[in-house]
Amino acid sequence: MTQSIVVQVGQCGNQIGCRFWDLALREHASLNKAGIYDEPLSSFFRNVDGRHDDPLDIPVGSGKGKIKALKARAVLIDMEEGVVSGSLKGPLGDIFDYKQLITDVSGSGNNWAVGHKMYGEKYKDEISETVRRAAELCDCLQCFFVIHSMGGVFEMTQSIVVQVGQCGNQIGCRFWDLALREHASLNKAGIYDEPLSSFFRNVDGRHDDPLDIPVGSGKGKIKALKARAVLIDMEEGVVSGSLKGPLGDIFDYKQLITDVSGSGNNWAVGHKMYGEKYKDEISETVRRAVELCDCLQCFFVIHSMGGGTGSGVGTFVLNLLQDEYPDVYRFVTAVYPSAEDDVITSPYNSVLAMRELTENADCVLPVENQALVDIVNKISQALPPSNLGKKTVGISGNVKAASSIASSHGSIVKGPDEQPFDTMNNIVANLLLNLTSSARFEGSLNVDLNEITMNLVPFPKLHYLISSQTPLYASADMKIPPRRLDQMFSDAFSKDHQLIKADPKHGLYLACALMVRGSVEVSDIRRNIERLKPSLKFIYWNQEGWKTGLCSVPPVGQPHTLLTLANNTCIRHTFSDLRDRFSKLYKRKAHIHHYTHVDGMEVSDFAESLESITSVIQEYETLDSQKDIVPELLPRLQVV
Amino acid sequence: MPLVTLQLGQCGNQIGGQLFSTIIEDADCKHTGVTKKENDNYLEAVNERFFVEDKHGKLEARAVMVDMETKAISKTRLDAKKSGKWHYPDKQQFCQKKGSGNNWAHGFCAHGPKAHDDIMALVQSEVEKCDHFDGFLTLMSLAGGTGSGVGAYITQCLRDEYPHSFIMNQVVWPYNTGEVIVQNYNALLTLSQLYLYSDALLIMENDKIQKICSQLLNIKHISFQDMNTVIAHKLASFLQPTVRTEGSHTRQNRLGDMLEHLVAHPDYKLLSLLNIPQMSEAALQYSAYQWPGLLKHLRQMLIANAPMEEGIDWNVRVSSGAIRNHNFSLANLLLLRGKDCNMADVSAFTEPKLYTDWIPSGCGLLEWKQPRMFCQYEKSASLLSNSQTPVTPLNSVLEKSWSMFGARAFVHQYIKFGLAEEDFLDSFASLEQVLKNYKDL
Repeated sequence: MTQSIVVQVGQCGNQIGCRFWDLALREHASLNKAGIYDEPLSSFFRNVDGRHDDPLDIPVGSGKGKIKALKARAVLIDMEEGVVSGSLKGPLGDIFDYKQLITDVSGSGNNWAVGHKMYGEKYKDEISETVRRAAELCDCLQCFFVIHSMGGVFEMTQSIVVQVGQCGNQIGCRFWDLALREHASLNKAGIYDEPLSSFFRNVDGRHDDPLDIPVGSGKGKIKALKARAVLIDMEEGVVSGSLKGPLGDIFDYKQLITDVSGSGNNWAVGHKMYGEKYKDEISETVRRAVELCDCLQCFFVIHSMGGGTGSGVGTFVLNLLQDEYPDVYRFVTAVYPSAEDDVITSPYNSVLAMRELTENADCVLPVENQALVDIVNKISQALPPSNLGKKTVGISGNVKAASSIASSHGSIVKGPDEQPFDTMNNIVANLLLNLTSSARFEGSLNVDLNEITMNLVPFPKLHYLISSQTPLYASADMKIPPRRLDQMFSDAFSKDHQLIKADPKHGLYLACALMVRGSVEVSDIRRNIERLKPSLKFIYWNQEGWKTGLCSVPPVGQPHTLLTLANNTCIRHTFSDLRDRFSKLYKRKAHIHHYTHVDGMEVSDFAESLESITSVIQEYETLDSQKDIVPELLPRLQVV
Repeated sequence: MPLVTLQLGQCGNQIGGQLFSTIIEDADCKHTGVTKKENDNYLEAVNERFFVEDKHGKLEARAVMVDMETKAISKTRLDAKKSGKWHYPDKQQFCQKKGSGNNWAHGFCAHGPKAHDDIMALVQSEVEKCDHFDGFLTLMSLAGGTGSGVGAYITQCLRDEYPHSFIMNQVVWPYNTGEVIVQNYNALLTLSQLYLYSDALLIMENDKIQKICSQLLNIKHISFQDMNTVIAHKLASFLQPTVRTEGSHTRQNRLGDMLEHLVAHPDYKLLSLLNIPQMSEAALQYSAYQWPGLLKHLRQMLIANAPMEEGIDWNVRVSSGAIRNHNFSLANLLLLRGKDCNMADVSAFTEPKLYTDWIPSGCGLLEWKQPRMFCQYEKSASLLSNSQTPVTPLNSVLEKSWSMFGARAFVHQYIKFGLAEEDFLDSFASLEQVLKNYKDL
């Protein structure tokens, strides 16, 4: 008779394989009562003399020899140990020996590429040797049976954060810190679960190049978390600071791209010079992060508009993502400089960067420094004196400590490690957490990230969304009267709570999203919409332009929060102020030569960027003018 | 007669889960008002219609679940399993990881075609479990991207592959002030597609459901769960078995029979559903109703176009001649359940003036009766009707989407997935026609 070899690969393959061996043994046992090693048995089993170290085969011979010890003609391969070592210890253990096994400890993270390219190469010789040994023991090998699954099951989508420049990295690190805090408070058992997987990888850190451990059955402990992040800065300070700090463990040096000399607050140096120089490295680093996701949905790019690295390299990365991953959404959190910004060229940088944002981002969440400062002041006035130690009189005595959106209480970075801008950056970090909450957690009305662009971007270029977060802090009083819940909705539309200095009530809404977390029902949202509607102006073709989302998991320390995202014409003032400052410099051609001497930078870039920002402002202005004068509507189609 | 339910999108899956558990709850009711034998017959019909017995003797819903995200499906499955009374069949789910993002075109042009083979294979295996297949009930919303887009696409495929089966689409009409900004576009595109392929569209308006929750059920903080419970109750009220004596033999309320009666003309496919009484469980124990009172209210709800028994405009009268101010019907299906339902006088619903003039006298009403109590209601009635009720919501969707389309707002998002402006115009044209047809009844 001929023989066949079974090659069982992966968890599924090995489970099926073991069932096969079990049933095959049963079948033969039922036919072969005498316990003779016969021809039928020999096709899948060897008969060995187990007294030797390397057991020798006993041939079928006359077909009358008793069975000594049966060994399966099998090769067992798995990159996680669980199933294979389980079968070795189980009742079937005797039919395999350790020379038939090839295992690793860390699994392929449901990633075909990791299995095929990486483990494949790594174990090529070993697999080949093991198979050869099995083949040599057959005297007429007819067939290989290979058993494996086609695709791991994995539920959630993942996102990658790309943090560029000093500001981007500071905000990014606050984000990671608060994200860890949020997950830690929900996930007491320390299990690597689906929500965690959307921003973090779970790795086996014992390897040089740590390997991903998949979510699997959702019961595996966290080994070591790594952020799905790419950190870019052209100065070393902030990035290496975060590596050395308490958060250092979640990044590894392969996720970093740094230079030593900085971009000198020059967009052209960042975009044209460093961009070109580090293009391959950035592309490679991003690719590595992408390959570790099994369903990548979104890139979050965080950078400032005023500096050189953030605006220049940040928008360069954005273009690169647009080229290489056109189907993945690109959300940009851009920090706009205040009018009193101390960087003289910041208007240039911002306007040049904005052209790229207008062209290549799916969605931009502008944040203004001055607005953050004002919110931080507002919070510190309300906090009890002990908390910040600055104010002596608190406005409200019953603010729950550590619940404000600027607080980092309970996070990893503490005390002396806290940076001066942390409170401000926490607000932006919370913005990202709240934005992604409904993509990460359960809710009766989930809002996926792609729904945000779908519902809030009526025209391709007008994708600048004003955001606000309320309440700024939670009350210590656990019973919240509905009045306070309503207050949360009212505050969200006041100009003091917006993350840019603008007043949406004086602008025209094109669309507005309400994303609620925590113990709020859909009827509460509807009631508040009805209540607030009269005070807000919506464009005539989108009078009911509300998008609502509900996520049942509240943020740490608060019973409920509201994030609003608004596409409102009032944002044009921020842009036109910026344009005015730009024009003031540009009229005198001040500092232009610093830009034009960079390779690849043309004088026309200035004019084109000016044109781009102007067209955005104009589009918003045209729409704003329809606030009071509704253009004549086309008559509805008539049917006969 | 077995019915295969397709649960599409987040909304469809939540409602589907609730529908099956309402059916089980009704089946488990202690007070049935009928003999044990009659009740057993009822239960047998329920099980045959909605469930398959799996090899462990457990009830397995005749359902296929489709969503482009996993969260809603896994939650619904888990809830079903937790009940311990029924569960969903294994491997009759299709889901992916990236949702349609409220974009109808993403669902219809991208997700739908890509998932076609898988979904149709699931549907086929579910249909093959039925001895006498009665038809499809698809549950979906109009506002989202997956339910509406993939739902419209799948309906078209069902029509292709099952040209002789009945398809009823239960569509959840979004709030007037919506949860999704592009909902009117999505509704427009879905309705115009469904009108081509579906046999009937049963409309559940969120605004009306919410009113029922707050005014009849006295729920303070209304959640989606509450609203889905109301919708499921309404669906079960006409889907649960009833019988009708026709000469010497009896007939079950097959979906086919119902649709044949209600949709007499392919231009008129929009159905709405009225129920009476509806109240909270607490109030139920202290209530007593008589058939004449119930039916009087129900009739007034029909002609005054009121979604519930509270706040009906009693001034509306059925008039003839030049003044036509009541809600005209094409056809009505009345289901009476509970004590003495065979004695109830339904002649008020056969009055020719209720119906548009080309309906032959006496042909407007079909009635089904079931002496067994439904969901603890001693007496209850549901009225499934093809009437002018959808005119107002349909007009509002057309008006809003037309004004948005005038500014070409959001259209680029649809074009990105392969839709053209002409497709919008075609949809507008076909729905304006539907609206006019209903207005002119």
